[in-house]
Amino acid sequence: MPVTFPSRAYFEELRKLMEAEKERFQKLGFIDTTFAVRVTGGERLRETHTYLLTFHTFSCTEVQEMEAGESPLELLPADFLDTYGSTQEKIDFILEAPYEVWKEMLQNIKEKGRADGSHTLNTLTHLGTPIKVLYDDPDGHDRLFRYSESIQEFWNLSAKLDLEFADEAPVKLEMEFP
Amino acid sequence: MAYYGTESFLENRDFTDRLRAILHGDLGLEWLKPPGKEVCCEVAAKRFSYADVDVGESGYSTLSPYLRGHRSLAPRGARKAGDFPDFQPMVNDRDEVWSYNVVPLYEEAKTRQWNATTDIPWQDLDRWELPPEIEAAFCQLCTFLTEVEMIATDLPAKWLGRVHPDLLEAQSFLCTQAMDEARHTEVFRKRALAGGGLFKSSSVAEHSLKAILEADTFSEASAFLHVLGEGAVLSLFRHSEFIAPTEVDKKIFRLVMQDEARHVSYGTLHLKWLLDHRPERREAIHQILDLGENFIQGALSDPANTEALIILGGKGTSKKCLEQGIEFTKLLTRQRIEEYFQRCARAGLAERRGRSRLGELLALVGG
Repeated sequence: MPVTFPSRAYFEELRKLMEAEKERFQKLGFIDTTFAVRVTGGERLRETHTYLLTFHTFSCTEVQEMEAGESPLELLPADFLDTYGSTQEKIDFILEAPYEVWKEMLQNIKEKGRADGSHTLNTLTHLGTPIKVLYDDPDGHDRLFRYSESIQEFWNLSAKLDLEFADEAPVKLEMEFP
Repeated sequence: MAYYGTESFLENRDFTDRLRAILHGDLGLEWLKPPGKEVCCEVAAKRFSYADVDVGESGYSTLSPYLRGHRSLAPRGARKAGDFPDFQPMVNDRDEVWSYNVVPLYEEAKTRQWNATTDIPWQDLDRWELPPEIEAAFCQLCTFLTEVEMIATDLPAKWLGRVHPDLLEAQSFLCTQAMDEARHTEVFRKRALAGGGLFKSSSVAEHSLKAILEADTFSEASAFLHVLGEGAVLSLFRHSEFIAPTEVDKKIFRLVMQDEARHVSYGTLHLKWLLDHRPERREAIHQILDLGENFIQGALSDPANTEALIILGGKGTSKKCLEQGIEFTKLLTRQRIEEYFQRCARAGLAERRGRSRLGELLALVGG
Protein backbone atom coordinates (compact mmCIF):
# COMPACT_ATOMS: atom_id res chain seq x y z
CA MET A 1 0.00 0.00 0.00
CA PRO A 2 1.46 3.37 -0.95
CA VAL A 3 2.57 5.76 1.75
CA THR A 4 2.43 9.52 1.26
CA PHE A 5 5.23 12.00 1.80
CA PRO A 6 5.10 14.05 3.91
CA SER A 7 3.27 12.19 6.67
CA ARG A 8 3.92 10.63 10.01
CA ALA A 9 3.08 7.28 8.38
CA TYR A 10 6.00 7.72 5.96
CA PHE A 11 8.50 8.12 8.80
CA GLU A 12 6.85 5.27 10.69
CA GLU A 13 7.49 3.05 7.67
CA LEU A 14 11.14 4.08 7.64
CA ARG A 15 11.31 3.33 11.35
CA LYS A 16 9.94 -0.17 10.78
CA LEU A 17 12.32 -0.80 7.89
CA MET A 18 15.24 0.28 10.05
CA GLU A 19 14.15 -2.24 12.66
CA ALA A 20 13.82 -4.93 9.99
CA GLU A 21 17.36 -4.20 8.82
CA LYS A 22 18.78 -4.01 12.29
CA GLU A 23 21.90 -5.96 11.46
CA ARG A 24 22.96 -3.37 8.89
CA PHE A 25 22.34 -0.50 11.28
CA GLN A 26 24.11 -2.31 14.12
CA LYS A 27 27.19 -2.42 11.96
CA LEU A 28 26.99 1.35 11.55
CA GLY A 29 26.92 1.78 15.33
CA PHE A 30 25.09 3.63 18.06
CA ILE A 31 22.94 6.53 17.00
CA ASP A 32 21.65 8.66 19.86
CA THR A 33 19.94 11.78 18.68
CA THR A 34 16.62 13.50 18.22
CA PHE A 35 16.21 15.87 15.31
CA ALA A 36 13.42 17.57 13.44
CA VAL A 37 12.58 17.31 9.76
CA ARG A 38 10.68 20.33 8.61
CA VAL A 39 8.90 20.27 5.26
CA THR A 40 7.88 23.81 4.48
CA GLY A 41 4.78 24.47 2.48
CA GLY A 42 4.43 26.46 -0.70
CA GLU A 43 2.61 26.15 -3.99
CA ARG A 44 2.51 22.37 -3.96
CA LEU A 45 2.04 21.77 -0.25
CA ARG A 46 -0.35 23.99 1.61
CA GLU A 47 0.98 23.58 5.15
CA THR A 48 4.36 23.17 6.77
CA HIS A 49 4.88 19.81 8.47
CA THR A 50 7.41 19.07 11.21
CA TYR A 51 8.41 15.61 12.39
CA LEU A 52 10.57 14.71 15.35
CA LEU A 53 12.68 11.59 14.93
CA THR A 54 14.30 9.98 17.94
CA PHE A 55 17.09 7.44 17.59
CA HIS A 56 18.57 5.36 20.37
CA THR A 57 21.22 2.66 20.22
CA PHE A 58 20.54 1.06 16.80
CA SER A 59 16.91 2.03 16.30
CA CYS A 60 14.54 4.82 15.49
CA THR A 61 12.50 4.69 18.68
CA GLU A 62 9.93 7.40 18.13
CA VAL A 63 8.31 9.41 15.36
CA GLN A 64 6.19 12.40 16.31
CA GLU A 65 4.46 15.03 14.25
CA MET A 66 4.31 18.49 15.73
CA GLU A 67 1.07 20.43 15.77
CA ALA A 68 0.74 22.99 13.01
CA GLY A 69 1.33 25.95 15.31
CA GLU A 70 4.30 24.46 17.19
CA SER A 71 7.87 25.39 16.39
CA PRO A 72 10.77 22.96 16.76
CA LEU A 73 13.03 25.95 17.44
CA GLU A 74 11.82 25.94 21.03
CA LEU A 75 13.26 22.48 21.45
CA LEU A 76 16.78 23.56 20.51
CA PRO A 77 18.76 23.97 23.73
CA ALA A 78 21.86 26.10 23.81
CA ASP A 79 23.49 24.51 26.78
CA PHE A 80 22.43 20.88 27.00
CA LEU A 81 25.08 18.63 28.47
CA ASP A 82 25.32 15.15 27.07
CA THR A 83 25.47 13.34 30.36
CA TYR A 84 24.48 9.74 30.20
CA GLY A 85 20.85 8.82 30.61
CA SER A 86 19.45 12.35 30.51
CA THR A 87 15.76 12.52 29.74
CA GLN A 88 15.66 16.22 28.98
CA GLU A 89 13.42 16.83 25.99
CA LYS A 90 15.51 18.50 23.34
CA ILE A 91 16.50 18.18 19.74
CA ASP A 92 19.97 18.45 18.29
CA PHE A 93 19.21 20.12 14.97
CA ILE A 94 16.48 20.82 12.45
CA LEU A 95 16.66 19.87 8.78
CA GLU A 96 14.46 22.33 6.96
CA ALA A 97 13.65 22.57 3.27
CA PRO A 98 10.75 23.27 0.97
CA TYR A 99 8.60 20.30 0.06
CA GLU A 100 9.96 20.30 -3.52
CA VAL A 101 13.51 19.72 -2.29
CA TRP A 102 12.57 16.74 -0.14
CA LYS A 103 10.52 15.39 -3.01
CA GLU A 104 13.45 15.58 -5.42
CA MET A 105 15.74 13.90 -2.89
CA LEU A 106 13.29 11.06 -2.36
CA GLN A 107 12.60 10.65 -6.06
CA ASN A 108 16.33 10.35 -6.61
CA ILE A 109 16.60 7.70 -3.88
CA LYS A 110 13.68 5.78 -5.41
CA GLU A 111 15.17 5.97 -8.86
CA LYS A 112 18.75 5.05 -7.96
CA GLY A 113 18.11 2.77 -5.01
CA ARG A 114 20.01 5.19 -2.77
CA ALA A 115 20.95 8.86 -2.89
CA ASP A 116 23.38 9.52 -5.71
CA GLY A 117 26.37 11.83 -5.26
CA SER A 118 24.32 14.96 -5.90
CA HIS A 119 21.62 14.06 -3.42
CA THR A 120 23.37 12.95 -0.25
CA LEU A 121 22.23 14.79 2.85
CA ASN A 122 25.68 16.31 3.31
CA THR A 123 25.70 17.60 -0.26
CA LEU A 124 22.21 19.07 0.08
CA THR A 125 22.99 20.79 3.40
CA HIS A 126 26.58 21.88 2.90
CA LEU A 127 25.92 25.27 1.36
CA GLY A 128 23.07 26.02 3.75
CA THR A 129 20.76 25.46 0.82
CA PRO A 130 18.60 23.80 -0.45
CA ILE A 131 18.33 22.08 2.96
CA LYS A 132 18.99 24.33 5.95
CA VAL A 133 20.41 22.96 9.19
CA LEU A 134 19.23 24.96 12.20
CA TYR A 135 20.79 24.57 15.63
CA ASP A 136 21.71 26.45 18.77
CA ASP A 137 24.21 24.05 20.26
CA PRO A 138 27.18 23.34 17.98
CA ASP A 139 27.70 20.03 19.76
CA GLY A 140 24.13 19.07 18.82
CA HIS A 141 24.84 20.19 15.26
CA ASP A 142 27.94 17.97 15.16
CA ARG A 143 25.71 14.93 15.77
CA LEU A 144 24.56 15.30 12.19
CA PHE A 145 28.14 14.45 11.24
CA ARG A 146 28.74 11.90 14.02
CA TYR A 147 25.86 9.82 12.65
CA SER A 148 26.22 10.85 9.04
CA GLU A 149 26.15 7.39 7.50
CA SER A 150 23.32 6.09 9.71
CA ILE A 151 21.14 9.09 8.89
CA GLN A 152 21.92 8.75 5.18
CA GLU A 153 21.06 5.04 5.25
CA PHE A 154 17.82 5.84 7.10
CA TRP A 155 16.74 8.13 4.25
CA ASN A 156 17.96 5.58 1.70
CA LEU A 157 15.39 3.10 3.06
CA SER A 158 12.82 5.20 1.17
CA ALA A 159 13.87 3.27 -1.95
CA LYS A 160 12.00 0.28 -0.54
CA LEU A 161 8.71 2.10 -0.02
CA ASP A 162 5.80 2.37 -2.36
CA LEU A 163 5.95 6.12 -2.16
CA GLU A 164 3.53 8.75 -3.32
CA PHE A 165 3.70 12.47 -2.85
CA ALA A 166 1.34 15.16 -1.66
CA ASP A 167 1.19 16.44 -5.23
CA GLU A 168 1.38 14.53 -8.47
CA ALA A 169 3.63 16.73 -10.56
CA PRO A 170 7.19 15.45 -10.95
CA VAL A 171 9.85 17.76 -9.60
CA LYS A 172 13.14 18.54 -11.18
CA LEU A 173 14.81 21.34 -9.37
CA GLU A 174 17.38 23.46 -11.05
CA MET A 175 20.11 22.42 -8.68
CA GLU A 176 23.64 21.73 -9.81
CA PHE A 177 26.06 20.18 -7.40
CA PRO A 178 29.65 19.24 -7.85
CA MET B 1 66.17 -3.33 30.70
CA ALA B 2 65.52 -0.27 32.86
CA TYR B 3 63.49 -1.76 35.70
CA TYR B 4 64.30 -4.79 37.86
CA GLY B 5 61.50 -4.54 40.43
CA THR B 6 62.05 -4.94 44.16
CA GLU B 7 63.07 -8.58 44.39
CA SER B 8 63.81 -11.76 42.47
CA PHE B 9 60.80 -14.02 42.92
CA LEU B 10 62.63 -17.11 41.72
CA GLU B 11 65.20 -16.65 44.50
CA ASN B 12 62.70 -15.74 47.22
CA ARG B 13 62.35 -18.85 49.39
CA ASP B 14 59.32 -17.55 51.31
CA PHE B 15 57.45 -16.77 48.11
CA THR B 16 58.16 -20.19 46.64
CA ASP B 17 57.24 -21.95 49.91
CA ARG B 18 53.92 -20.11 50.02
CA LEU B 19 53.12 -21.14 46.46
CA ARG B 20 54.02 -24.73 47.28
CA ALA B 21 51.68 -24.66 50.31
CA ILE B 22 48.81 -23.32 48.26
CA LEU B 23 49.31 -26.02 45.68
CA HIS B 24 49.06 -28.54 48.51
CA GLY B 25 45.68 -27.11 49.55
CA ASP B 26 46.72 -24.68 52.27
CA LEU B 27 44.71 -21.70 51.00
CA GLY B 28 44.93 -18.42 52.90
CA LEU B 29 41.91 -16.73 51.31
CA GLU B 30 42.98 -13.28 52.55
CA TRP B 31 41.67 -11.81 49.28
CA LEU B 32 38.16 -13.09 50.02
CA LYS B 33 37.09 -10.07 52.05
CA PRO B 34 33.86 -8.86 50.40
CA PRO B 35 34.07 -5.58 48.55
CA GLY B 36 32.03 -2.62 49.79
CA LYS B 37 28.26 -2.88 49.61
CA GLU B 38 27.83 -0.32 46.80
CA VAL B 39 29.14 -2.50 44.03
CA CYS B 40 25.96 -3.86 42.52
CA CYS B 41 24.90 -2.34 39.25
CA GLU B 42 21.96 -2.81 36.98
CA VAL B 43 22.61 -4.61 33.73
CA ALA B 44 20.79 -2.83 30.93
CA ALA B 45 19.21 -5.06 28.33
CA LYS B 46 20.79 -3.50 25.27
CA ARG B 47 23.86 -1.65 26.35
CA PHE B 48 25.87 -2.28 29.47
CA SER B 49 28.14 0.70 29.54
CA TYR B 50 30.67 2.24 31.88
CA ALA B 51 27.83 4.50 33.04
CA ASP B 52 26.05 1.42 34.39
CA VAL B 53 29.04 0.48 36.54
CA ASP B 54 29.48 4.00 37.87
CA VAL B 55 28.59 2.92 41.39
CA GLY B 56 30.06 3.53 44.82
CA GLU B 57 33.68 4.30 45.36
CA SER B 58 34.75 2.46 42.23
CA GLY B 59 32.70 4.77 39.99
CA TYR B 60 34.01 7.76 38.10
CA SER B 61 31.46 10.15 39.59
CA THR B 62 33.12 9.98 42.98
CA LEU B 63 36.64 10.50 41.64
CA SER B 64 38.58 13.17 43.43
CA PRO B 65 39.79 15.95 41.14
CA TYR B 66 43.28 15.36 42.51
CA LEU B 67 44.42 11.75 42.34
CA ARG B 68 46.54 11.26 45.41
CA GLY B 69 47.71 7.99 46.88
CA HIS B 70 48.54 5.10 44.64
CA ARG B 71 50.13 5.60 41.24
CA SER B 72 49.78 1.98 40.18
CA LEU B 73 47.62 0.02 37.76
CA ALA B 74 45.44 -1.35 40.59
CA PRO B 75 41.87 -1.24 39.25
CA ARG B 76 39.86 1.66 40.62
CA GLY B 77 37.78 0.21 43.46
CA ALA B 78 40.02 -2.81 44.08
CA ARG B 79 41.60 -3.33 47.50
CA LYS B 80 45.28 -2.49 47.49
CA ALA B 81 47.79 -4.26 49.67
CA GLY B 82 51.48 -4.63 49.04
CA ASP B 83 54.30 -2.67 47.53
CA PHE B 84 53.06 -1.37 44.19
CA PRO B 85 55.41 0.20 41.68
CA ASP B 86 55.01 3.88 40.86
CA PHE B 87 54.08 4.19 37.18
CA GLN B 88 54.77 7.92 37.43
CA PRO B 89 51.68 9.23 35.66
CA MET B 90 52.08 12.90 34.77
CA VAL B 91 48.35 13.67 34.57
CA ASN B 92 47.01 13.17 38.09
CA ASP B 93 44.34 15.78 37.73
CA ARG B 94 40.89 14.56 36.65
CA ASP B 95 39.99 17.88 35.04
CA GLU B 96 42.97 17.71 32.73
CA VAL B 97 41.41 14.93 30.61
CA TRP B 98 37.79 14.54 31.70
CA SER B 99 34.92 15.59 29.48
CA TYR B 100 31.17 15.85 30.12
CA ASN B 101 30.55 13.28 27.40
CA VAL B 102 33.60 11.03 27.53
CA VAL B 103 31.67 7.93 28.63
CA PRO B 104 28.94 7.97 25.95
CA LEU B 105 31.54 8.92 23.34
CA TYR B 106 33.67 5.90 24.23
CA GLU B 107 30.63 3.63 23.90
CA GLU B 108 29.71 5.27 20.60
CA ALA B 109 33.25 5.05 19.26
CA LYS B 110 33.47 1.30 19.81
CA THR B 111 30.28 0.63 17.89
CA ARG B 112 31.03 3.01 15.03
CA GLN B 113 34.35 1.53 14.01
CA TRP B 114 34.68 0.69 10.34
CA ASN B 115 37.27 -0.97 8.15
CA ALA B 116 39.08 0.88 5.40
CA THR B 117 39.90 -2.42 3.72
CA THR B 118 36.37 -3.80 3.42
CA ASP B 119 33.80 -1.03 4.04
CA ILE B 120 34.75 1.14 1.07
CA PRO B 121 33.50 -0.08 -2.33
CA TRP B 122 37.00 0.21 -3.82
CA GLN B 123 36.01 -2.09 -6.69
CA ASP B 124 33.62 0.63 -7.92
CA LEU B 125 36.33 3.26 -8.35
CA ASP B 126 36.89 2.45 -12.02
CA ARG B 127 33.22 3.18 -12.78
CA TRP B 128 34.32 6.80 -12.90
CA GLU B 129 36.71 8.05 -15.50
CA LEU B 130 37.99 11.30 -14.10
CA PRO B 131 39.76 14.02 -16.05
CA PRO B 132 43.47 13.90 -15.13
CA GLU B 133 43.43 17.29 -13.39
CA ILE B 134 40.53 16.21 -11.17
CA GLU B 135 42.18 12.93 -10.21
CA ALA B 136 45.44 14.77 -9.53
CA ALA B 137 43.69 17.36 -7.38
CA PHE B 138 41.89 14.67 -5.43
CA CYS B 139 45.11 12.75 -4.89
CA GLN B 140 46.80 15.95 -3.68
CA LEU B 141 44.02 16.31 -1.12
CA CYS B 142 44.49 12.67 -0.08
CA THR B 143 48.27 13.19 0.17
CA PHE B 144 47.72 16.09 2.54
CA LEU B 145 45.22 14.14 4.64
CA THR B 146 47.52 11.10 4.78
CA GLU B 147 50.25 13.38 6.09
CA VAL B 148 48.20 15.12 8.78
CA GLU B 149 45.85 12.45 10.12
CA MET B 150 48.34 10.31 12.01
CA ILE B 151 49.17 13.19 14.36
CA ALA B 152 45.75 12.68 15.89
CA THR B 153 46.91 9.14 16.72
CA ASP B 154 50.32 10.26 17.94
CA LEU B 155 48.96 12.90 20.31
CA PRO B 156 46.57 10.71 22.33
CA ALA B 157 49.10 7.88 22.18
CA LYS B 158 51.78 10.17 23.61
CA TRP B 159 49.59 11.04 26.59
CA LEU B 160 47.88 7.69 27.18
CA GLY B 161 50.57 6.19 29.39
CA ARG B 162 51.03 9.46 31.22
CA VAL B 163 47.42 9.64 32.41
CA HIS B 164 46.63 8.26 35.87
CA PRO B 165 45.07 4.79 35.44
CA ASP B 166 42.06 5.81 37.55
CA LEU B 167 41.00 7.98 34.59
CA LEU B 168 40.43 4.85 32.55
CA GLU B 169 37.26 6.03 30.79
CA ALA B 170 39.14 8.98 29.32
CA GLN B 171 42.11 6.75 28.47
CA SER B 172 39.75 4.32 26.75
CA PHE B 173 38.22 7.07 24.62
CA LEU B 174 41.68 8.25 23.61
CA CYS B 175 42.49 4.68 22.54
CA THR B 176 39.54 4.75 20.14
CA GLN B 177 40.75 8.03 18.72
CA ALA B 178 44.19 6.57 18.10
CA MET B 179 42.58 3.72 16.15
CA ASP B 180 40.26 6.07 14.23
CA GLU B 181 43.10 8.20 12.99
CA ALA B 182 45.27 5.28 11.98
CA ARG B 183 42.31 4.23 9.81
CA HIS B 184 42.07 7.72 8.32
CA THR B 185 45.73 7.65 7.36
CA GLU B 186 45.12 4.25 5.79
CA VAL B 187 42.03 5.19 3.81
CA PHE B 188 43.55 8.34 2.29
CA ARG B 189 46.81 6.61 1.45
CA LYS B 190 44.93 3.77 -0.22
CA ARG B 191 42.72 6.15 -2.18
CA ALA B 192 45.71 8.09 -3.49
CA LEU B 193 47.56 4.93 -4.46
CA ALA B 194 44.46 3.37 -6.04
CA GLY B 195 44.29 6.41 -8.32
CA GLY B 196 46.83 8.98 -9.37
CA GLY B 197 49.31 8.34 -6.54
CA LEU B 198 50.78 10.48 -3.79
CA PHE B 199 51.52 14.06 -4.75
CA LYS B 200 53.20 16.89 -2.80
CA SER B 201 53.78 16.71 0.94
CA SER B 202 53.52 19.87 3.01
CA SER B 203 56.33 21.18 5.18
CA VAL B 204 54.03 23.99 6.31
CA ALA B 205 51.49 21.48 7.63
CA GLU B 206 54.17 19.52 9.43
CA HIS B 207 55.21 22.53 11.53
CA SER B 208 51.62 22.64 12.71
CA LEU B 209 51.68 18.93 13.53
CA LYS B 210 54.89 19.29 15.51
CA ALA B 211 53.43 22.18 17.48
CA ILE B 212 50.40 20.06 18.45
CA LEU B 213 52.61 17.25 19.64
CA GLU B 214 54.83 19.59 21.66
CA ALA B 215 52.04 21.34 23.61
CA ASP B 216 52.96 21.55 27.30
CA THR B 217 49.82 20.02 28.83
CA PHE B 218 47.15 17.61 27.63
CA SER B 219 44.41 20.22 27.85
CA GLU B 220 46.38 22.68 25.77
CA ALA B 221 47.15 19.94 23.24
CA SER B 222 43.46 19.00 23.21
CA ALA B 223 42.28 22.56 22.60
CA PHE B 224 44.78 22.79 19.74
CA LEU B 225 44.10 19.34 18.27
CA HIS B 226 40.45 18.54 19.00
CA VAL B 227 38.76 21.93 18.95
CA LEU B 228 40.91 23.88 16.52
CA GLY B 229 42.64 21.28 14.34
CA GLU B 230 40.06 18.53 14.09
CA GLY B 231 37.26 21.10 13.99
CA ALA B 232 38.93 22.49 10.87
CA VAL B 233 39.46 19.03 9.42
CA LEU B 234 35.81 18.16 10.10
CA SER B 235 34.82 21.16 7.99
CA LEU B 236 37.27 20.00 5.34
CA PHE B 237 35.81 16.47 5.35
CA ARG B 238 32.27 17.78 4.95
CA HIS B 239 33.41 20.05 2.14
CA SER B 240 35.31 17.18 0.54
CA GLU B 241 32.19 15.00 0.59
CA PHE B 242 30.45 17.87 -1.19
CA ILE B 243 33.10 18.22 -3.91
CA ALA B 244 34.29 14.61 -4.10
CA PRO B 245 34.39 13.40 -7.70
CA THR B 246 33.04 9.87 -7.17
CA GLU B 247 30.52 8.18 -4.90
CA VAL B 248 33.31 6.00 -3.52
CA ASP B 249 35.10 9.15 -2.38
CA LYS B 250 31.91 10.55 -0.92
CA LYS B 251 31.49 7.39 1.13
CA ILE B 252 35.04 7.76 2.46
CA PHE B 253 34.33 11.29 3.64
CA ARG B 254 31.01 10.37 5.24
CA LEU B 255 32.78 7.73 7.29
CA VAL B 256 35.79 9.79 8.34
CA MET B 257 33.60 12.76 9.28
CA GLN B 258 31.78 10.61 11.84
CA ASP B 259 35.01 9.81 13.66
CA GLU B 260 36.29 13.36 13.42
CA ALA B 261 33.05 14.79 14.81
CA ARG B 262 33.35 12.49 17.82
CA HIS B 263 36.84 13.81 18.56
CA VAL B 264 35.66 17.39 18.16
CA SER B 265 32.78 16.71 20.54
CA TYR B 266 35.15 15.27 23.15
CA GLY B 267 37.48 18.25 22.79
CA THR B 268 34.72 20.84 23.00
CA LEU B 269 33.15 19.39 26.11
CA HIS B 270 36.54 18.65 27.66
CA LEU B 271 37.42 22.30 27.25
CA LYS B 272 34.10 23.22 28.83
CA TRP B 273 34.78 20.84 31.71
CA LEU B 274 38.24 22.32 32.19
CA LEU B 275 37.03 25.92 32.17
CA ASP B 276 34.08 25.08 34.47
CA HIS B 277 36.36 23.40 37.01
CA ARG B 278 39.65 25.23 36.51
CA PRO B 279 38.84 28.76 35.43
CA GLU B 280 42.43 29.77 36.11
CA ARG B 281 43.45 27.81 32.98
CA ARG B 282 41.58 30.17 30.66
CA GLU B 283 44.56 32.33 29.73
CA ALA B 284 46.79 29.32 29.02
CA ILE B 285 44.11 28.00 26.65
CA HIS B 286 43.90 31.36 24.91
CA GLN B 287 47.65 31.40 24.49
CA ILE B 288 47.81 27.96 22.89
CA LEU B 289 44.93 28.91 20.57
CA ASP B 290 46.73 32.16 19.65
CA LEU B 291 49.65 30.03 18.49
CA GLY B 292 47.54 27.21 17.12
CA GLU B 293 45.37 29.40 14.90
CA ASN B 294 48.50 30.69 13.23
CA PHE B 295 49.82 27.17 12.63
CA ILE B 296 46.50 25.77 11.41
CA GLN B 297 46.03 28.71 9.10
CA GLY B 298 49.41 27.95 7.58
CA ALA B 299 48.63 24.26 7.20
CA LEU B 300 45.23 24.78 5.61
CA SER B 301 46.42 27.53 3.29
CA ASP B 302 49.24 25.50 1.79
CA PRO B 303 49.08 26.51 -1.89
CA ALA B 304 49.05 22.94 -3.23
CA ASN B 305 46.02 22.01 -1.14
CA THR B 306 44.17 25.26 -1.67
CA GLU B 307 44.59 24.91 -5.42
CA ALA B 308 43.50 21.28 -5.34
CA LEU B 309 40.34 22.25 -3.46
CA ILE B 310 39.62 25.00 -5.99
CA ILE B 311 39.97 22.61 -8.93
CA LEU B 312 37.80 19.98 -7.25
CA GLY B 313 35.18 22.54 -6.25
CA GLY B 314 34.97 23.95 -9.77
CA LYS B 315 35.29 20.55 -11.42
CA GLY B 316 37.99 21.76 -13.79
CA THR B 317 40.58 24.36 -14.64
CA SER B 318 38.72 26.67 -17.03
CA LYS B 319 38.25 30.26 -15.85
CA LYS B 320 34.61 29.62 -15.05
CA CYS B 321 35.42 26.44 -13.17
CA LEU B 322 38.13 28.17 -11.15
CA GLU B 323 35.79 31.01 -10.22
CA GLN B 324 33.25 28.51 -8.93
CA GLY B 325 35.96 26.58 -7.09
CA ILE B 326 37.26 29.76 -5.45
CA GLU B 327 33.78 30.62 -4.22
CA PHE B 328 33.37 27.16 -2.69
CA THR B 329 36.80 27.33 -1.10
CA LYS B 330 35.99 30.71 0.44
CA LEU B 331 32.80 29.20 1.79
CA LEU B 332 34.77 26.38 3.39
CA THR B 333 37.04 28.92 5.10
CA ARG B 334 34.09 30.97 6.38
CA GLN B 335 32.29 27.88 7.63
CA ARG B 336 35.41 26.51 9.31
CA ILE B 337 36.14 29.72 11.21
CA GLU B 338 32.54 30.44 12.14
CA GLU B 339 31.96 26.94 13.50
CA TYR B 340 35.24 27.11 15.42
CA PHE B 341 34.06 30.28 17.18
CA GLN B 342 30.73 28.60 17.91
CA ARG B 343 32.48 25.62 19.52
CA CYS B 344 34.73 27.94 21.54
CA ALA B 345 31.63 29.73 22.81
CA ARG B 346 30.01 26.38 23.63
CA ALA B 347 33.06 25.51 25.71
CA GLY B 348 32.76 28.81 27.56
CA LEU B 349 35.33 30.75 25.56
CA ALA B 350 33.02 33.16 23.78
CA GLU B 351 35.60 35.94 23.93
CA ARG B 352 37.79 33.97 21.53
CA ARG B 353 36.00 35.60 18.62
CA GLY B 354 37.21 39.02 19.72
CA ARG B 355 40.74 37.96 20.57
CA SER B 356 41.44 35.75 17.56
CA ARG B 357 43.21 37.01 14.46
CA LEU B 358 41.13 34.67 12.32
CA GLY B 359 38.72 37.56 11.91
CA GLU B 360 41.26 39.05 9.49
CA LEU B 361 41.06 35.90 7.40
CA LEU B 362 37.28 36.00 7.54
CA ALA B 363 37.41 39.48 6.03
CA LEU B 364 39.66 38.15 3.27
CA VAL B 365 37.14 35.49 2.29
CA GLY B 366 34.13 37.76 2.54
CA GLY B 367 32.91 36.71 5.97
